[in-house]
Amino acid sequence: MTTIDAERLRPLGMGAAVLSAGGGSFPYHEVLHASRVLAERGAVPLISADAIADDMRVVMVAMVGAPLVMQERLVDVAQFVHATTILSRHLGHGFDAVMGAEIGSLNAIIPVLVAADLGLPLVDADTLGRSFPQIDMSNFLITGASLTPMALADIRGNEVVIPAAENGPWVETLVRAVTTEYGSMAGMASGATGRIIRRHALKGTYSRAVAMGEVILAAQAAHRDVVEQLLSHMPGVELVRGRVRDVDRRIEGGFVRGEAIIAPTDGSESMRLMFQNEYTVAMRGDRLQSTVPDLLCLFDTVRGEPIGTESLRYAQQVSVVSFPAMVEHLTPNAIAAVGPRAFGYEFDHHTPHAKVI
Amino acid sequence: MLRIGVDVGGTNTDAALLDGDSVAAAVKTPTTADVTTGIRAALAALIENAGEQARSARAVVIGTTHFVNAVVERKRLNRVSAVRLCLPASHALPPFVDWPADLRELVRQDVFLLPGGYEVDGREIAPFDVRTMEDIARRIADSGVSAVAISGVFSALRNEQERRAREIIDRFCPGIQITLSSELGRTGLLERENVALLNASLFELARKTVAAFKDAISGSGLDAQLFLTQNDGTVMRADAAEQAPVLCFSSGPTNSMRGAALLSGCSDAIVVDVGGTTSDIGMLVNGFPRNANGVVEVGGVRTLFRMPDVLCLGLGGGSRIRTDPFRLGPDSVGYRLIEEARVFGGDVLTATDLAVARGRIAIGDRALVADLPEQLLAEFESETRAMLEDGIESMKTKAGDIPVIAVGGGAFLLPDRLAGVSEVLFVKHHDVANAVGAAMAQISGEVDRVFSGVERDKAIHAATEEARDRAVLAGADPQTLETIDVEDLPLAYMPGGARRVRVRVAGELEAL
Repeated sequence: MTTIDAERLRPLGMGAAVLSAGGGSFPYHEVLHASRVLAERGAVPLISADAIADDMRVVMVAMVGAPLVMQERLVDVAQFVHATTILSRHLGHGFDAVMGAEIGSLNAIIPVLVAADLGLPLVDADTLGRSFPQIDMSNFLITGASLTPMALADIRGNEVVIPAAENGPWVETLVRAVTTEYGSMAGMASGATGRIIRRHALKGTYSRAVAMGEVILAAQAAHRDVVEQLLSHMPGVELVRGRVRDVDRRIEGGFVRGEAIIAPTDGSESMRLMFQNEYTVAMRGDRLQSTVPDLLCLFDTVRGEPIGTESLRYAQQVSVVSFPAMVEHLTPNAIAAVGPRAFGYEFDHHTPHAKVI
Repeated sequence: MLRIGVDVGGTNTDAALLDGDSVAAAVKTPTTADVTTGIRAALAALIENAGEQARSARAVVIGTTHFVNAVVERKRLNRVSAVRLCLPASHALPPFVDWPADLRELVRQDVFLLPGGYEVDGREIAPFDVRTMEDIARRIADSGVSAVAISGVFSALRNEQERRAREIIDRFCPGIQITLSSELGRTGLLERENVALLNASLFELARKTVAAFKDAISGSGLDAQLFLTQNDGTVMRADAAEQAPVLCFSSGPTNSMRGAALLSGCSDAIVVDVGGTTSDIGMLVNGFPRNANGVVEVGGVRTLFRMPDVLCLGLGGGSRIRTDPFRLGPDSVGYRLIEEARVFGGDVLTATDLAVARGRIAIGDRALVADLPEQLLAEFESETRAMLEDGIESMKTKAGDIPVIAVGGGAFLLPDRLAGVSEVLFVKHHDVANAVGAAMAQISGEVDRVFSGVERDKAIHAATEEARDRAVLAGADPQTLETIDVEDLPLAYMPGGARRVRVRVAGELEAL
């Protein structure tokens, strides 16, 4: 794949909904905005992260804030271009390419919008490989690269640059504080060279999202089982298929935490699927089935679509699927940052997938 | 108090006279191309059936699919200008952006964006700009458009700016119809704005329809006030309905569900309304249909407002049955059932024929279906059962067996027992449950708001008080108000333990 064109936007959005691991759903408004921008500006070239030059200057963009605010403010490429401009002024140079900070849900589409608007290519990579609830779960911070200097833009003339931060959790703290004052929605931009991206980014994630989305949309069009189709195209395990029997949500430290109980169609023991914005742990009784950083996804088997934790509802017919974690998420440092203990659980990573060597 | 309910469906116009909670009379008449003539005929039949007592009814409640049909058919709509308070935010996706092209072509006049709107914490995105608003109002007046929809960022949270915009437009454009998004829709700017735009596009039709309905009532010799049924199972005064025709969109299934509650005396149950072509399955909670939580598409337009959560199955009395291999529907002979079905001497095999053959109901001539093989009847039985059990399970809100109320002309298609169901209730007057539901005539008030830095109980209390005020303003008797629905959703990534609270209350119509 060498471009993101108008035809690839819907698959990208659908695949990004899967990679959001319950943190979001199909990014309808962003795909709508992007299809209008691409109609005017043409397709965005997609370049492999392995093929970029050492000195290439790349800007990484994302929306930080509350999904509810996005539903009212609606996405606008100008806010993210503004963040890029602030950063560019701070660094004293422009950029050669755009990359995503997080491939999940709407944040997969925003870099496409910025790339199209600025007439730059998009790097086929991001820094999370999926959705996680905190910025310090970025692979850049896990592997010792930096996300600062970072620029934060709002819809007005306000500009904030974080030139440096003590560590990952401080980036998270500062960004949240600014975002709240901005109205719980900020455009974020940070920069990296090609050399850093080759070493620290999670590669091929745009191609992966599009491929997932294409399988889902083709299965929907042919009225075939979306989960079966996905698992025939890529590694993964269906943990359970059944109906949602209970959903419990509570707010803790700004995050929505909770769990869903899924009663299997075959009458076997129920599954508990826990979440903290994203799905984190699947267990049956006291037996772990799969935990972060495995990619846990829940599909509505009637509509054949991934569903986010916010849309979970009693009696939904669902399938819980675990896709293997990316190899980068399985190093000891990564497990410490994005494994179960990072989410407050007292147990280690458990996975149904074969060890990747 | 005597009340008359009328439900105008695609095939039949049903009418019922309700005395308190009991059905005094009910009739079924054919729907006419000119809806008003059909209503007049139904009222005449009801008066003949019920006798002079019908004339003392003081309320006539009409449920009609007239408005939603106009959107679906792209007919009888007027043009609308859009005013959005949002700048410098929310301009990349302008009003009408995701409408189907044909509908947009028909409805869109001008689109104006101006500074304004609110942050999620209630601060202004930008102050209201009187001069700019006056300029826009002048241009609206010059264009001669008859209706305007006003939207604003987070107006479901605070709507002062939308109201100020309305005052100015009202002043510059006398007689123009103005819809505020905050008065109809929920959080979600584009979808709430779509509701306001659709509502404004129905303004002229609503005015004509309400006038015609009033004529039909007075022409029938009745001295009664007109009400229209709305999506949540309650009713609105005619003047309110004229301002909010979108709230009448889903009156059919809603009226049936309300009627089912009254006829069965059961307020928490699943209702299956079997018509000629389809079956609607909905969940009654506290006697009212449960609302859909997410986006509902109407005529290809995404909307977020009060709509019932209804699951539609392709099972009706007129559903065609094919043999070899066996297939049920999804097509139907519809209203031609009484000519085309085998039991009526026709040559199309329908679900009704199989029900007659199995002895579920005695209509037509059973001898004409005596030749149907046992194997076919068994296949039909198991297919119907599977469809219904699956649909019912999907609509439940908690585990355990639950009663099912069977209503509609094709109620006989339901088996006596179903898995996951405690009992199947067949009720008297099931075939006019929709008209009975309309006649129940309760009044509601709803609030959907984001609260920040307020405790859960206080937030729910504040929302409830406001919902009660709205219900009373709409004509409810405050003594009879009950809370129907409370939803409370904590929000992620927001300061101060923000939560979204939705409260709905309903009560009796205040004595007229």
